[in-house]
Amino acid sequence: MSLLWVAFGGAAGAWLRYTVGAWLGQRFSQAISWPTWIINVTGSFLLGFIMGCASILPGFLVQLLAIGFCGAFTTFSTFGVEALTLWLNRNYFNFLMYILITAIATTVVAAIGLAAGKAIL
Amino acid sequence: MIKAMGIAAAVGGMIGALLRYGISLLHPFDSTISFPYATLFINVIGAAFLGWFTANVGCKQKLSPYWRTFIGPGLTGAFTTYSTFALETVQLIQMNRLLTAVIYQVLTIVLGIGAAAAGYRYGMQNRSGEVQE
Repeated sequence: MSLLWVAFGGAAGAWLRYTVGAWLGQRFSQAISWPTWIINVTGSFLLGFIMGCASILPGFLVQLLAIGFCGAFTTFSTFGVEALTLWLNRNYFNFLMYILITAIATTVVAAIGLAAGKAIL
Repeated sequence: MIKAMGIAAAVGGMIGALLRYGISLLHPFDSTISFPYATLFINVIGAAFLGWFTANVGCKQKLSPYWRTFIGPGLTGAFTTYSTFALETVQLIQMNRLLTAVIYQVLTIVLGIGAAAAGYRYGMQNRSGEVQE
């Protein structure tokens, strides 16, 4: 049964990432990939929040929202290839900035989300 | 167009999320004692594949945009994850395993981008003579 929730959440997460990416992609210029950054940061916050209050949530909701949705909405492979593209274009400053702002922001918001989730218990 | 492509991404995402879930069950992460090998493995393998796919198959005209979206943003995008990576880092920090958290971040980013570069190079080498966009 858990497979069904993970699959459903995964489909929703990938769909939303693609749709948001396609929508934001037309509104931002290149260089650092802000659509992927926004997706990874919001998804990390949401996962932190869900896991913070996971003890009061039914198991299926954790599988659906945390493992399925947040896991699939956020992405490391796209981040890696985007960073690589900056490197291959010799845009070394943006390469470093993209890595740093993603690593720091996702960790900080995951911690804030976790604290916020625990606070509502 | 975006709607139909979104469905391709959703179907790919379903498979990617299930694969990730399966691998994570093989090596569950406990922030008090273990290292998040499962997520590291998933993200490095996924980045290598997407690097190769971007350089090679993703450029082939014979692969339709639907298949490209299904495999790229869909399957590979949902297989790899940034939120779990970030949360596991926070959990390690909260257990006062600061060095492990730093090693986890550096290992994932260095190996992940390195794997994407290796996949990309391999994909570029093996596409000579093919029809490209």
